Parts: sequence; C-alpha cells; structure tokens
Amino acid sequence: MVAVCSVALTGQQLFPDLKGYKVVSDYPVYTPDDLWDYINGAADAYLALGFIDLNISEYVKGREVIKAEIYRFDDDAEAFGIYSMERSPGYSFIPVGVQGYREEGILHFYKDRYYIKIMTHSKSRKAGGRMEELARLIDGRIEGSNKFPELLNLFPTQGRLANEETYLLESVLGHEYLRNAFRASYEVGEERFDIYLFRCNDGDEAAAMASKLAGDSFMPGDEVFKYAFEDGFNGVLHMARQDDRLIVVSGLGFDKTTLAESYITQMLGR
Amino acid sequence: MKRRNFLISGLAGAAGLAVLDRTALAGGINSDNEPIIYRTLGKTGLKVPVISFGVMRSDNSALVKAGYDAGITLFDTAHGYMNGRNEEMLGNFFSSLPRDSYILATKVKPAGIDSRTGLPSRDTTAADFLAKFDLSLQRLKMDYVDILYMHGVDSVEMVRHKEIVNTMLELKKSGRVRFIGISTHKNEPLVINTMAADGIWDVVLTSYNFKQTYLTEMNSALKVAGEAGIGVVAMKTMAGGWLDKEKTRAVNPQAALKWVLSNPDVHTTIPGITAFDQLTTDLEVMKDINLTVSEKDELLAGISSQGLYCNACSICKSDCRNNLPIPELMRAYMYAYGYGNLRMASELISETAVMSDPCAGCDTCVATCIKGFDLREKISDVSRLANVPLDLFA
Repeated sequence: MVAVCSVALTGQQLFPDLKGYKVVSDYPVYTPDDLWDYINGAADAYLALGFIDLNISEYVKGREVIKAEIYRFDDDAEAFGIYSMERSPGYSFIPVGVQGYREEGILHFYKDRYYIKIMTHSKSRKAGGRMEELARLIDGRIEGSNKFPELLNLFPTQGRLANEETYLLESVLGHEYLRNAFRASYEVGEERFDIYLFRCNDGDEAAAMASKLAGDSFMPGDEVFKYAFEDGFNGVLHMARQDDRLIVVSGLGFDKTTLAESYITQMLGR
Repeated sequence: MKRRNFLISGLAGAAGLAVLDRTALAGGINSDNEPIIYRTLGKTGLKVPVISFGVMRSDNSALVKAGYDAGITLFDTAHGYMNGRNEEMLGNFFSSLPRDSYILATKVKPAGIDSRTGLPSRDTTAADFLAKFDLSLQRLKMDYVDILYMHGVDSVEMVRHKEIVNTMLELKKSGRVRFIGISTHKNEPLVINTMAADGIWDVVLTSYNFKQTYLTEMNSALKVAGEAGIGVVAMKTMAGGWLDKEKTRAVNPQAALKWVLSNPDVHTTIPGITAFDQLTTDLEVMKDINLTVSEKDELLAGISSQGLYCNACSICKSDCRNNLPIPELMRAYMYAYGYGNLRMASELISETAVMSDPCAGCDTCVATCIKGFDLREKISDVSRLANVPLDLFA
C-alpha cells in the first residue's frame, strides 16, 4: 500500500500555466520590509492586516500582458479583511475563490489566506476572459477554506448591506486597545449603523476590551453585560459582552437603544 | 440568567476625551494653549501645521473629524489606497465642510511603470492618468484637489515623462488641481534634485527619517528643493516603526517626528494615523518640535541597529563555496527572528533543500554581505530548522 501525501502549493508554485502565454516570474518576492517599494503607501493597510509575502508573475502573449499578484496573509480572516476593504458593493461579483469581482482591466478574489489580484492593460474582451481563466486555475491550486469566515454567520441578515462586511485587525473604532473585529453595516428604515463583532480568544480578552470601553461601569461578574454610552469620538456606542463574545453597535443614538438591543440579542443567541 | 438592561450614560469613553467640536478638541489636546506651529509649503504659499494627516488606511471618518477639529488642515490620500474607498470616505466626510477649510492631496500612479526599474512603458499614458484622476475627483466629490502628486516616482525618466507632466500642467492650468507634485520613496535625492532643476514642481512628498543611510544626500536635496521653492512633505517618518531587529523596541513617534521637523527644509509631515491615542500623540508635536536629550538618545540607539532585511542583491552567492541559496536563508532567518514565524522559516528552508548547518565543511566563510550580516552565524542558526518536522509547527 502506498501512502499519498498531499503537499500544499506555495509561493511561485501557485502560478499555473496558461495556454498560449509565456509565464515570466522575474519579480522579487516582496515581504513586509519592501512591500512599499511595490505598492507605495497602500502597503500600510496590508501590513496592518498580517501580510506575509507577495509573489508576482506575468503572462505574456505578444503585446498582451496579464499580471497576477498573490498576497499571502497570516490567516483567512486577514485575507478577507484586505479583500473586503478594497471591495466596493457595486462591483460585478463572480464565483471564484470565496468571492471575486471583475472590473475593467482587473479581477480580484480571495481564498483561504490568499488575496489574488489579476490585471491587464489590454482592452480586448479575450483578455478579460483569460483573466477569469487564470483566476480559476489559481483558485484550483490553493488549498484550504473556500468559505467566508464563520463569525460572519452571527450577523443578522435583516437590513444588512450586501458586500459591506469587513475585518479589522487593529485600532477598531480608532481605539488601539480594540482589535480583531468583523464589521457589518446596516440600513433599517432611516437608520444606518455598523455592528462590530470581536474575535476574542477567550472571555478574559473580551472582558479586558469591554472594561476599557466601559471604564468603571464595567461589571465583570455580569453574565451578560450591556452598556450604552457616548464615546468622545465615535458618538453613542451600544456594547454587550457575554463570555468570549463582544459586540459593539455604532451609529445609533440613545433613543434607538431598542433597535440596537434587538440586534445584539440576536447575535448573543446564536 | 442574569440580565442587565442597557445603562444609559452621558459619560465619555474610557479615554475620557469628551470633545466633540473643533474648538473644544483642539483645546482639549492643546490644553496649555501653546500655539500650533505652521510652516509655509514652499511657493504654494499654503500655511500648514507641521503635522498633517496621512489617511492611508483609515476608513474611520470619526478619526478624520478629530484631526480636522484639532486643527490639522492637510489630508493626504491616493487613488490606489483601499482601491479607492479611502478617497470615498474622505469625499463623504468633507462634502459638508467649507472647501477652503482643508487642503486635500491625492496621488495618481501612472500605469505601466516597472516597479523594478522605475521606468515607464507604452502603457504609461495621459489617457490612463486622466481617467484615474477623474475617478478620484468623483470619489472625493470635489471640483478640484489642492495637491496632485504623481505617485511613487523613483526615476528621472518619470520625473520628466512628457506626456504625464504635460497632463499635470494642463490640470493645474484648468483649475482642477491647484498644485502639482511628486511622491517618492526610492532614489529620493535624485528625484528631488531633478524636480528642483526642472522648475515646474510645487511640492514633493518624500520619505525622510532618522534611519535613512543616505542622509547627507537627502539633506542636500531637501536644501536644493527649498531653494527652488518646492514645498516639502515628509512621509515614512517612523522608519518602519521599530528600533531593533527583534521588534521589541518601538520607535518613539514624537521623537521621530521632531527629528524630521528639526530640518527647516521640511514643511510638514504625514504620519499615518489610525487611532485616537496616536492622533493625540502626534498632535502634541504640532506645538512642540524640540527634541529632548532623551529622545535624541533613543533615536541614536535605533540608528545603530542593523535590521534583519536582506535585499537579495545575491552578491554573496557568487562567493559561497557551497553555492548556498543565501538570500533565501536570510529571508528564512527574518521569518524566524523578525516575525517569530518558525513555520514560514521552516517551509522556506524545506523549499531550498538545505540541510542543517551546511557551512560545517568550511573552515572560513568567504561570502560577504554588503549589509554586514554575519552570514555563517545566521545560516548555522536558522538551518537547524531543517531537522524539525513541519508538523510540529501546525
């Protein structure tokens, strides 16, 4: 009996052949130390989301060049974070990887801990089709999760704005002590608000963040602690902490506490 | 189950910064009423506080509002930041404010620039540049921007790219751009000197920090820029954020900013601001730019640290008797000791097929590193991972 061992492809191995195109891979592998050299100040957002490295290949056929960039992150939430940060809800989405979209000259998608950007200056319709073909081939070479992060399922669907969800690793709501949060945006009647769900390792971490937000009012002994207050910069926030779950609603005034609580209750109950 | 009703409180957040209007916030942070330090941005004549706002990766308009309320006037973004969502956020925020109460700078990167050489290609066209600029204006909801930079320039060929330069001059003439400039973070002295010689540029946005290894050339170029009337905006002022290779000692942000501003040829800085505490820290520099002795000492300690980054020049490879993939091994070392990620380091070593301690057969190492790395010691150290099964890092 022969044991078959599957080895995940990494780095340049993730670039497939594309029929009729010559693959040129003479770019360096960019790391956090030199990503700025490649994408300038945009690098800051990548570095803040656990960027590990970037591999680049070009597919050349005559004067047509398709460039593919594969950004690797520490985990899938971070890859989702950068993908979703650069995603606009009005884009034309396509089923590649977990999700992707194609606009003129670009195709972006993400899967597992990879964010893939494919681009061309060619205006031909064929080149667009080739970008999609290349995307599917790269998709097929990436092993791992092909689903959105699990915690996104905890957000209620009513009033939730499609394709507005994101993930923030640092300085959530502008506070350095708030980290690791998924955010979804809502529109209910005339109210527009955001809900943050923090990805905490345990109850202590959730309590520590809740305590800093709520100050002396925080009751660590409460099984469910709920609090509404005016944050000096973000306006009114509604927060709730239960075990390792910390939820903050931003954008609803004190007179909308009932609405905030209804969403929080749904999320705590899931 | 014990339930607690929502407790409604008028208290400020834990930070205790109950400041909501422009005057109150500025007063709260600048409680000693020290005046904000302004400098004139070269021949633009714009008077700007020494601290401006690098918006870069912030999608939080409350943070931008806090900066605006505190007296920051210049906000810096780019066409490419967050794939345009950064400009959208700023457009939404500024749309209700008086247009003359802020200075908006954005950057457009011409297409087709080879990131390895900095040279243009046939894809570097005015049409592409204009289309991107139009889209930026649309996202920003503005009729004009105050400063438009050509983004990420590091070659003379791009500083003098006729098609793009003429397009920028036309935009300035038409009033859709008030001032034109270039942003650069590689070959900066060359770029700045060329800009000064050409006489058409209003502003340069350049990397400038205490750790740069070519400060003599930088200072000389900034002086030339000043004499040519070019406004100088400094970026990357935190020098990567760490003083040591182990990333245990963070750069003192106030010291780093003060060091940059100790050069009178620099008119303002754009630290990337993502948190209120950070904003508060940066704003303190807006009224006090004098470096203390202890701040100077901290920066000096940082200058002496060598860093972990191998720039893969590969000069070492031709010297190595065993033909080892030294740049890859140096990268593995950085993964292990810089990022603390042993799995990545191990994966990379596995790809190179290097065995543990591959230098053991050599009495002396003849391979040399232009950055002064002790190659033998680092290879010996990191190659031990070759003996560790990958499973252990799962």
